[in-house]
Amino acid sequence: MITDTFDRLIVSQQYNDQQHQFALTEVPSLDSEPRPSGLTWNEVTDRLLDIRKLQDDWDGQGAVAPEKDLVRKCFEFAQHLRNQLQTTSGGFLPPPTFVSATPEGTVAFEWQYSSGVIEAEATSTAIEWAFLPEGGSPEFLNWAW
Amino acid sequence: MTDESQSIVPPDESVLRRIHRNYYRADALRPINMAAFRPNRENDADGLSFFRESLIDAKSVAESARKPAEDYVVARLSVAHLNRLGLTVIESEIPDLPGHCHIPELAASIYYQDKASKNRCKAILEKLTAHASKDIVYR
Repeated sequence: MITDTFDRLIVSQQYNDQQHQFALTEVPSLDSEPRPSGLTWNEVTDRLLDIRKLQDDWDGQGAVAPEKDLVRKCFEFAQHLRNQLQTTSGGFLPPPTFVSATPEGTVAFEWQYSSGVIEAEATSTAIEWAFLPEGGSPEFLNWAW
Repeated sequence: MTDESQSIVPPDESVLRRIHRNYYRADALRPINMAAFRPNRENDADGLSFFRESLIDAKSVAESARKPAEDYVVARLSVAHLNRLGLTVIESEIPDLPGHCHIPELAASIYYQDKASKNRCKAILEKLTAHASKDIVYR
């Protein structure tokens, strides 16, 4: 069942041989069911394939295209999200609502909930998580690649 | 920060933001995602770009890009709402296109200054995106 309440979730996570403390925050309940309006994991793959083809100025406003190596890491990250990023409630993250290249050549995964937004921005050095609950205090943390 | 030569856009106006379709999904809870409001390091050095709706319409904003207009949607934001988020809207003329303005608090030089600054901006962008998603005037 999908809920929109905020729960205290993931405790710690092993990723790329590094231990990351993930949830010092209230984040939306992460059920195994996809969110209404979320992408499917196959669509996430399609989005990343599209992003890999982008050229500089793809938006007509001077955007930098993501490096191929960063997109490769994003495929691995998406796979990790899908299969291994288990929450304390035993579920997995649903597919994100958006996967987008940013103007700076990073790649943003965004999960939308009625209670707020989670963003995981893949940069050349880290995954930068932002937990942005509506009406609450934002929290941020990094996972180094 | 503003100087005396710059005019502040009043709170009873609305501004328009041109958004690439890659940042838009009609069926999403919020049809626009946060990445649509990231400043571009080169083009938004002084502030995030908008257009005053009192001086240019949404279709013209979409058509003014280097890519075809159908690649974009345009969202409307009230200046009063932006002010409540602690943002100011400043007139900034550019050649051959009326109504250009920008938000200096979301300049690339601020957004990318350091990690803390980027995080502060992201918290604002979340609110900005929620507001913009409610009023998409060209799609």
